[in-house]
Amino acid sequence: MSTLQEPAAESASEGNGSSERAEIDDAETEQVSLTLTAKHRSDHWRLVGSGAMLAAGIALVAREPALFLVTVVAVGLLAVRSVATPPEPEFAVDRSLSPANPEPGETVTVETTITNLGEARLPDCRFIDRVPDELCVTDGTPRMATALGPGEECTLTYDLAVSSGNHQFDGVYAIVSDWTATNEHEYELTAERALQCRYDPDPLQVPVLRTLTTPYAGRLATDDSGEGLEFYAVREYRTGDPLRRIDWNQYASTGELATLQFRTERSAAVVVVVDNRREAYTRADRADHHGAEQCVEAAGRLAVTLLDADHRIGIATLGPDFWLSPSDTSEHRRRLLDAFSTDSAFSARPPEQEFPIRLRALQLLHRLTETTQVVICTPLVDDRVEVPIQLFESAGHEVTVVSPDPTRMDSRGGIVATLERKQRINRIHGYGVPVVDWGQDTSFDVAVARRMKGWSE
Amino acid sequence: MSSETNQQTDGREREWTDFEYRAPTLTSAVALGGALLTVAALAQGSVIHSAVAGLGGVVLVAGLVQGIRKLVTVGAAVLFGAVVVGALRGGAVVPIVAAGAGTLLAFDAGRYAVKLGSQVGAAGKTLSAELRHVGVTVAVVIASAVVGTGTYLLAPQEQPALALFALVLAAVLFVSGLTVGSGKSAQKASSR
Repeated sequence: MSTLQEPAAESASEGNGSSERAEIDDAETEQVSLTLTAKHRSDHWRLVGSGAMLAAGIALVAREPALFLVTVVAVGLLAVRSVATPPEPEFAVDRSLSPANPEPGETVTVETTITNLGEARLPDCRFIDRVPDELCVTDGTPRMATALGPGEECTLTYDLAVSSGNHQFDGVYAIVSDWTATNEHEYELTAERALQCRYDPDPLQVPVLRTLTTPYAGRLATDDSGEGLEFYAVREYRTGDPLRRIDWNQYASTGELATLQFRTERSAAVVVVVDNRREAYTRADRADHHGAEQCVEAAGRLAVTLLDADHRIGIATLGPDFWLSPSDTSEHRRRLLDAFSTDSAFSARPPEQEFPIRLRALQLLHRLTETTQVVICTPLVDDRVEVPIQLFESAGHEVTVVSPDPTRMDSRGGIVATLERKQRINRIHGYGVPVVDWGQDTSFDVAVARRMKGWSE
Repeated sequence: MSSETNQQTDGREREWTDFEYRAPTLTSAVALGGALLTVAALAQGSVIHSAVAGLGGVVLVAGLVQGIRKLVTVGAAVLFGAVVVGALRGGAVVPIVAAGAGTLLAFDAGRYAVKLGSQVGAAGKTLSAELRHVGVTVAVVIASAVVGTGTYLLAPQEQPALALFALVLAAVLFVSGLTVGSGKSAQKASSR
């Protein structure tokens, strides 16, 4: 309990203290590393002290013994307060999640057990379990105040509603105080735990590609004829046409050579670009998903739909880098879904850095080696996302934009954002790039179907 | 939003999950009890003092319920003022000491309840920490009150009152000097 025994490494000053790592040697159980973040001294004892002095003064002047005795009572409490300082704590944290690998939308029960490994009794400590920001606590609470003797433990139990993606528990926040609540030390306990919720998107019912194709056999019906499977037309024989394409029936009946033409079904190479820049992590309400998370969801569903239609799909990003070359193997599909679930580029937390958009777009352009279609999934919350759209379109890659709408007209700022976004969509239509606007209250399938209907008319 | 910065002043200012302030039950009860004790003890002398104390108590409880520390402090100051005035208007010793002890308890418990309520909040389990803190405070206050009043009442009557006052004052100053001194040295040691 004596403050003279504090290690020299921990020299935080009072009040808004600086953080200093207090690495404690490990014991048999897993001891977590503590970081002292702040020290507080409560001021209410000063008030009590000044009140006591005032009472003593008045008592002396007025010769009133009762007030003296009130002062004695206050001084008794003050004397006791002075010898109390928060002991140096040592904790072990054990966190268990059940189920450990939840489905999206499931409720996970978290039990965090904190054990006092030190010799000292901790008379007043408060623990706050640091829940990942994007998850909601549905039952119970991750906070507790308790007294821990040496070797004792306490458990925080609460339920979380889990959404798909990669979530991270950072640790536990502990506030250790002495038993008169004079001095408080705040610590961050590092006890990280990742919670991965596997992403399993359903395919859409409607196709969404424009007409550019690549010379691989697949399922996209195109308008130019060539090698393929479905009969389309007959044309005059030209020297060099393969013998197996000659219409022998016609030759038999009229004596003229003619070549059969088939409607080409070609597969497309499509790169789905996800906007995971920091600007894309916006939402109107804390209960909604970020725009970027909805982009990941849209990209996942599109990727699965297109893979089911035998196209070759690649993944790219506009923010933190991620690149998967277009391919259509089942291994590729598994890798793609794994990436959406677990890769840090698609995490539910916004990235720290800024990414120069033109540079990233040019990088992406270099990676697109053949005639590839591009589907950009972006919430369209800023103008800079038009740079890659224009770049790709003018380089010959046909672009489709899929845009989940994160705006809401519930405040002045929200109205401005909604109108700006609509303007952006109109501008992008002006380049000849179609935009699928996925509104807040519609499902993705309905939004795509509506847009497809609009294109076919 | 993961802001692990060093400049946090209050557990209340960080947003973890959806947080709701609520003062913990036991400590609030003790604060309320302390305020009521003051009111009841002052009622023996004069109803007006009691009413003023009651006002202070209401302000304190309001601060407790809303989670505003300043209100708790103001309420306790009003209670204390009522105690002082009641003593100056010639109250008997034991009720005044009881009223003073009640004020002290109400203030300490009120501040502690606001602190816990801001950091742990509604639905958090706080009972064991509360028991410890409140138990210690109540025990120390009662012990000091009993010892002080006992010493005063049992002191031989022929002692001149001034000498007795001077003795008590000396003891008070001595102990306060100790507390302030050791508080400062504790600060010095921890800021090395």
